[in-house]
Amino acid sequence: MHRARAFVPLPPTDAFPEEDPMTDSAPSKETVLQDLVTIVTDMTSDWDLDFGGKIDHSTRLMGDLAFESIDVVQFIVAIEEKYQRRDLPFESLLMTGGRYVDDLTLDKVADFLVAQTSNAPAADA
Amino acid sequence: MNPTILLGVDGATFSVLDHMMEGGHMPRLRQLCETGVRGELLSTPHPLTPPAWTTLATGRTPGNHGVFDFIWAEERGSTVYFTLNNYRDIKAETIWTLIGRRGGSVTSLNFPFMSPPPEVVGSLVPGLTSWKHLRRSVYPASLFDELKTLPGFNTKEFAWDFDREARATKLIDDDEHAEWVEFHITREKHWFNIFRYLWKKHPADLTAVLLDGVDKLQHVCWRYLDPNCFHESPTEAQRRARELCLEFFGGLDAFIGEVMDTAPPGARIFLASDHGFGPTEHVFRLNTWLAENGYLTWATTDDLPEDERAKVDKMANRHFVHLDWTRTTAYAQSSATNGIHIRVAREPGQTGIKPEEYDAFREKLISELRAIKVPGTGQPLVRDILKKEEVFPGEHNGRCPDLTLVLFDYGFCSVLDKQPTIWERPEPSGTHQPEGVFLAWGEGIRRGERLPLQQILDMAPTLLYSLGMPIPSDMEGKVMTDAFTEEHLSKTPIETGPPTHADRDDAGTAADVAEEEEDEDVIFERLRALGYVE
Repeated sequence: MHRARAFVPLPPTDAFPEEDPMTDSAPSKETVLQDLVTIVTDMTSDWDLDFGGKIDHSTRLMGDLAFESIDVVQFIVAIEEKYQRRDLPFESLLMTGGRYVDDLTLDKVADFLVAQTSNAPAADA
Repeated sequence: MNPTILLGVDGATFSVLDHMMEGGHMPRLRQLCETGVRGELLSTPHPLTPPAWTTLATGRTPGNHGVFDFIWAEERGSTVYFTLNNYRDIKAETIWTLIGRRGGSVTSLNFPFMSPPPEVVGSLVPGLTSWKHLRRSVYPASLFDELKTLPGFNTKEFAWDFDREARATKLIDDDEHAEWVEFHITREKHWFNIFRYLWKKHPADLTAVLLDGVDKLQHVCWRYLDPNCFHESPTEAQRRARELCLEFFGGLDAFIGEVMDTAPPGARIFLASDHGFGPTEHVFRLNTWLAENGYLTWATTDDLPEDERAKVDKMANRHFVHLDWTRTTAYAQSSATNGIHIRVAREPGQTGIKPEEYDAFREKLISELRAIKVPGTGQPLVRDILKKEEVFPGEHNGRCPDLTLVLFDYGFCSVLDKQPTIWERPEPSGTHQPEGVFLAWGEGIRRGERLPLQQILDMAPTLLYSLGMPIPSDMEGKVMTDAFTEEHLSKTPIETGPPTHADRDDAGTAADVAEEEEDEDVIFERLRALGYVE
């Protein structure tokens, strides 16, 4: 039941041309944040949101951008594609005390990703 | 290369289509039957959209393509993490990329788990994708802006709508049934338009569309489609719902006729469904039963925040994420799979049964399940119980439930904490059955014949054969030779070719492919359990 998932290197997609995938060297938080802003800005560009602010580190996925669960799923897929990683333990970001969190800021997501880059990927990477 | 068209009609069954043809509502389908071949098409062992369409698209059994459900879930520590399947979860190559590698082109519309989109030679618009994410999920990326120029193009009217799907499962009012059918009439028209546009503007060797409105109608509106379920004195609203159902099938028929009329010389049309359909009148609450029999313990809600506890208690619909894992040895994750996962403690600190207890534990569970009777009739509730390794063998069956239940009426199980354990519905509903439909028409296809039972596993090699391509040596299916004339078969021998891109983990979503899952409400229930949807 508790099997480790293999690290699966993915080739780049059209949506997010690769610059510095999270491989050998860890990108800075600033770089990660910029990547996340780019992903979220592109993702929400035709959503007709009430949110009129600038998407930045403090933007809340649910509170500001009205993310629903399916949007969170797509966001994670986009991150995995961007960084060519499928072994990131998103449950530790999304769940606290066995329950899913109510909201997430891009800053929090960036912290999670930066922390993960300091962890070497699985041996079969 | 003979142009080949695949019309996927989710959930289509002859028990409804024959009724429609006999009533004069589908004359073009009747023509297709009379001038082509028809037969029943056996689905995957558990007839469900995710494994079945994936088998059709890969020519591989579920144990080898790895898709068993709309979702997958894993226990990680003391939590359960789950998410939706996507393209990267398909562990076998699909014909959408394979045909491109073999020098052909495809149009693939509305097939599940095609996002993030693979690079194909041609055009791809995925199914099971919310309108919010469709723009980023088509291939090539420029296709979306191209489609936006179509008159009336509106993604909200044809992309997957999770909220609407969830509401549909709760519809009880006949007027709401009518609205549901009207929505799907509009929705299918959008897919027809996209098909027409690409068919003309970017013709491909294989043009395929999955039309899933039939499944949607049959789940919710079975009582208006099955003559055995008609009300003797229908209300005006019921008559209206029935009329709209006929309009829906009439629209589908007109589209089939249009494809026949515009098919280029030498073309072949294949029409296939992923599973059949039939009535169901009972709901088996599987997790409730497991709890009553000592296999499962619901977690208390005492430690939840007050608002969440009140919500959970009021709705009485605790899900598997609300289990006491220290006292749960077997549970159901998903009503879509009718599956039971047995928890085995394989590492120190894990809870569950001991590995050496597995066989005896499972046999005891099977025995107890087989003893359940349908209230009122006394017949066994469970028609069959499928063991993972026997029915879904393969190198990618890790996400398959240990046991899969086939209920007496092929109904789906509920996984929620509700009573009674076996609930009789006030009105019959539609549920999946194993035998779907297969039709073929065009050059080299027999005329007017009824075929013996065909296999959905054989669809992919049959489509490749129709295109004049060799069949990959690792495809488990075979060409449906029954459908073709002797003359055609002798002129065009079946050839075996190189294997598919066997290890999809190396292929990913992109394109070095030069080398290179009651079910809708289940998604919603999973999503709601994520905590982000009310």
